[in-house]
Amino acid sequence: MAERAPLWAVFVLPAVLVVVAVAVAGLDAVLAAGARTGRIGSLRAAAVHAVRPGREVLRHLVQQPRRTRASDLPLARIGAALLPVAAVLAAVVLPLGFRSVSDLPEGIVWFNAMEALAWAAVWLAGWGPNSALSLIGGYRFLAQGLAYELPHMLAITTAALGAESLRVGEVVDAQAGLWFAVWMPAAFGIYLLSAMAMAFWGPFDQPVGVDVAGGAAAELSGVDRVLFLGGRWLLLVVAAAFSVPLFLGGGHGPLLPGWAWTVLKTAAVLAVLVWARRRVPTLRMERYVELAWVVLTPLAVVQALFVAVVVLNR
Amino acid sequence: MDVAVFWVLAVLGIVSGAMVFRFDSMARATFSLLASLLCVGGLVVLLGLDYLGIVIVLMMTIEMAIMAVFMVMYMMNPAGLMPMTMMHNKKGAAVVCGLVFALLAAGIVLAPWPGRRGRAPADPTMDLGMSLMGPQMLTMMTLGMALFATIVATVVLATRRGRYDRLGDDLRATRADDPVRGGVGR
Amino acid sequence: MGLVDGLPMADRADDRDGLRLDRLHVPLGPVLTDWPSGLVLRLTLQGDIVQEAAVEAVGIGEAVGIGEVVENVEAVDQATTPPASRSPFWDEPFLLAAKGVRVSQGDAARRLCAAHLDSLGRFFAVVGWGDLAARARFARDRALAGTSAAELTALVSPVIRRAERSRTLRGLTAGVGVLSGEHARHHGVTGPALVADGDAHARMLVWLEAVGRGAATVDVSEALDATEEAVGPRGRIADGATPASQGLLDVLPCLLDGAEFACARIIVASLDPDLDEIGHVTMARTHHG
Repeated sequence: MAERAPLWAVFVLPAVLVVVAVAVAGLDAVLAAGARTGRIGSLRAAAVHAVRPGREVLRHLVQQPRRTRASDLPLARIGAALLPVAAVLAAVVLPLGFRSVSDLPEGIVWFNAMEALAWAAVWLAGWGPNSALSLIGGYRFLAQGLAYELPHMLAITTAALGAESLRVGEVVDAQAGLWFAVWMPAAFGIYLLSAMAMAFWGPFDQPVGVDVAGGAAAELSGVDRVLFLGGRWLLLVVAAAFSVPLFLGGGHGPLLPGWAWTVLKTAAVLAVLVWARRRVPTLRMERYVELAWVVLTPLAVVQALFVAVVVLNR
Repeated sequence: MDVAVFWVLAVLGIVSGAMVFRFDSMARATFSLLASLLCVGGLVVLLGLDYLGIVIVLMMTIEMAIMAVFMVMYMMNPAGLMPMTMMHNKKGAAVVCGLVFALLAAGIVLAPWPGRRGRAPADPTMDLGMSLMGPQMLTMMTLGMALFATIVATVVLATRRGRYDRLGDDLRATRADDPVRGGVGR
Repeated sequence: MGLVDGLPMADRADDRDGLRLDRLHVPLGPVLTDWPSGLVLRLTLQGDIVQEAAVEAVGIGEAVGIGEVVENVEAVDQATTPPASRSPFWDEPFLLAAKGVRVSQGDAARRLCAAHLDSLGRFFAVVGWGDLAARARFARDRALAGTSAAELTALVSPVIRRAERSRTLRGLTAGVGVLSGEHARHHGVTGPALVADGDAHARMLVWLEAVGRGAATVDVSEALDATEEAVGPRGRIADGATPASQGLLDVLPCLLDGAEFACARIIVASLDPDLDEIGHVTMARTHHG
């Protein structure tokens, strides 16, 4: 059972998330810069590339914001600001070790609900600026949501089923012996795919893709842009971190304290995701949706059935 | 604290619900409706029915997002350039909504609510579920399947292209003839 | 079609699936990331589906296309008119050889290889594979800087290997923009698009193959045979004749019909018409005539 964290954790949580997100963005920038020659280069050069995301943030903050003609500014603003808010709210149920800011009895459903707010956020950010390309970007995220959400919900339900509880703390406790990732490999794999999809990042970056000149983020500038793209990194960090309590045993592990295991496992998941994105092109939804509904959803149902039978016979 | 939260959510919910009639952009109206529904979800959480409240938030967000898909289909002007309202009979709809609201509010205020006997259950969601569905689980499962079958049947009836269009008259084509190829290659 | 705040509104028409829905007229280009510069597509979009496409090449004065042809080219389009007076960069060695100047086979292969790497860079960027795009562009820069055959081969072979072996890429680009050999010949396409005789993935494979072959021969110093018909990166090059890219532009509208926006971008990138070629020939014609 997870303990309740002190009140100051409420203020520490967003700061920790931002630090992790900046670190991951830095790692990604180093790898992106190394892609050209196939080598990372010197340590010095790597350091220069690693601080690039931070420099970009500062540049956007001092930049003169630009506006598109006849835009619906309030809607676009709400959309951009909603994304980081949804990410932080979802992180409320994330345990660091065995403590989370609030271990809600329905933590898993809460996480899912907050992640769904991102659907509204991206669509609003795409619709608001009155630009066809950003509208297409926002529109694409809804198609992506419909494609990934079904197997995703089944995957997280499977983890809850294995623990017979929707409370994240109890899901962690249920993995004191065997990690769920070991005996629910299909659900774990589907979760990792949908973690990238919900953050519209990596192979699922179609909503902000190169081919639509930045998609939903195309017309955002200044603070809005920082919030939106930063919120996307936060969402990725939170989604990746949530796979640790769900499938990788949370804080359980030998020798080290619980929080250290959580950090290590989260870092490992993030590293895998950052590495994986460089290996594949962007998945287009009109192709992926068939895979998601015809292959992944039945696979997730079979996985849930298997877990249900195991739990009933326990 | 609870009382304050109640009033804030209640007022926000009603105001954003009323704003649905005021906005002249479909996107604003849709998301104002969503805001109203999210407040209702918060109120349900306040009642101690956490699960139902969070599920309302989840379902309504996805539902409104899907409405936005249709919005783009029927009205492709981004940012709601063309002023447009959600409903055609605006006055009638507003009157009906106002009347229903007044009726329900009067019911709440005037009904002789029974006093609480015994203690509140540890898990109200569980108890609510048991009292709603417990003895009728079979009915509920049948109903669920019937609803699902209806959805599938409606889609099958509505679609213009059948399997003979896709796979040829003898259903032997190796690759389906679709306007857009899918990812699995059937 | 009304105007709000000076902007055209969407109007309605039947879509691909027989529904009557709103559609929006969106010009694409002439300047866009990873886009053949100078190309303007007048798209009619329904959601993100291209319903009609008309092709325009900025600054050439003639609009080509099967859909409706928009008359007025905006002021911004004219500002970006490519300097058509110089010969198209990617065809240079072949044009010089045709004029009788001695050009080594190695130099021609180098330019051809770099041209295809340039196209591949755009193609990979549009399919969302930034890493491979960066690798292809690095190899292109090295090729143009005059690197040796051994080094160039070492640079391009991992790109070729990864792109050829990627099942995801094949799954994503197969069936996109199928251009049969017959159809291609009918429109006067002569280059890799004709050889490929298939979809975007097949065209990419033809490029990759040509890059591999070209990279190995960039050091050959024998002269290019001027009597033979020159085949540049986009197809046959003959002085005064219709440029190869014109054929590519001609097939674009029918390939784009009914494609999703992302597919449309991939189709354009996989054909990759070179607008310089068209400008050059148009200029040459006006001078002669």
